[in-house]
Amino acid sequence: MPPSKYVAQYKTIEDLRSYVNELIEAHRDAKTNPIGVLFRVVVPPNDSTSYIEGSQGPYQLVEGVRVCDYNFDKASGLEWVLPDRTMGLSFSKTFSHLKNVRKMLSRHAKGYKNPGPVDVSWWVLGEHNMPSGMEFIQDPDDKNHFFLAVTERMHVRKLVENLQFFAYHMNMIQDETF
Amino acid sequence: MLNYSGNNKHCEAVAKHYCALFNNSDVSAIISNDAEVGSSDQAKSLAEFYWFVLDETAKERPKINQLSDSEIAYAVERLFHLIGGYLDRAGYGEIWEQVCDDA
Repeated sequence: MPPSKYVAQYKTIEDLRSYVNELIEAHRDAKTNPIGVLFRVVVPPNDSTSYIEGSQGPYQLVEGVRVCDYNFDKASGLEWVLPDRTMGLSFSKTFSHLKNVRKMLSRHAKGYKNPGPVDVSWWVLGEHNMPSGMEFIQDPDDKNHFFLAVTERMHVRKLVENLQFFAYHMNMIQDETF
Repeated sequence: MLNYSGNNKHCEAVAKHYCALFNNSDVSAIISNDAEVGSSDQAKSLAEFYWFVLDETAKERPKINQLSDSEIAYAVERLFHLIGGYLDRAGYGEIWEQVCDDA
């Protein structure tokens, strides 16, 4: 499957705010869906739901998945992922949340005090059926943050397949502020 | 209260390590769950503490207990949500926003 597609660029944070708020307006309350659309900040060249070896920071990867993001069963040699509703890829519900996450990830993206670009992708809830065993779960510590969680035991290859499904249906806006 | 259970399990050790460098007794008490944030000034200091931690961990690889680089990095990611979410619940979401904008 191809990765997420770039469909727009932002040259300023105001550009990003306008774009994100348009998406929220189109997909949230108007359709009586309290969430509607969730946003994910992505440090390129990583894709919406997977990491490229060498571009994931200090984290261990298994087939493009950060081990810290899911509850890998270490006894299985990281082949199986256990259900855990408090872990998963990060998504933001609001513009202000994603703006702050963007700053966090951008700030040292190319080294200490050397900020780098951060793209933004999004998933529209209800447009496609969710893969079995995966749910968006609100972070109990941060109401505007959601985990794309694993809710049933699954093999890492199935998780990767599921994450590719999400990426295939997510579009991206490219950071052109640098 | 800051929740240091589950996948936040290393956040306390990382935050306490940097409290010693940040040198703000109010922040130290909140991070230790000995006190709740009780004023705008405290909220601002706690928000600024997060960005201090982020910068310090990016500057050089810290040695904190037996934690690996990835465990420390993930704890810093989680601290963002812990501290931001805590300030929002305590009624200081606007101060968190302002400090994030200014950081």
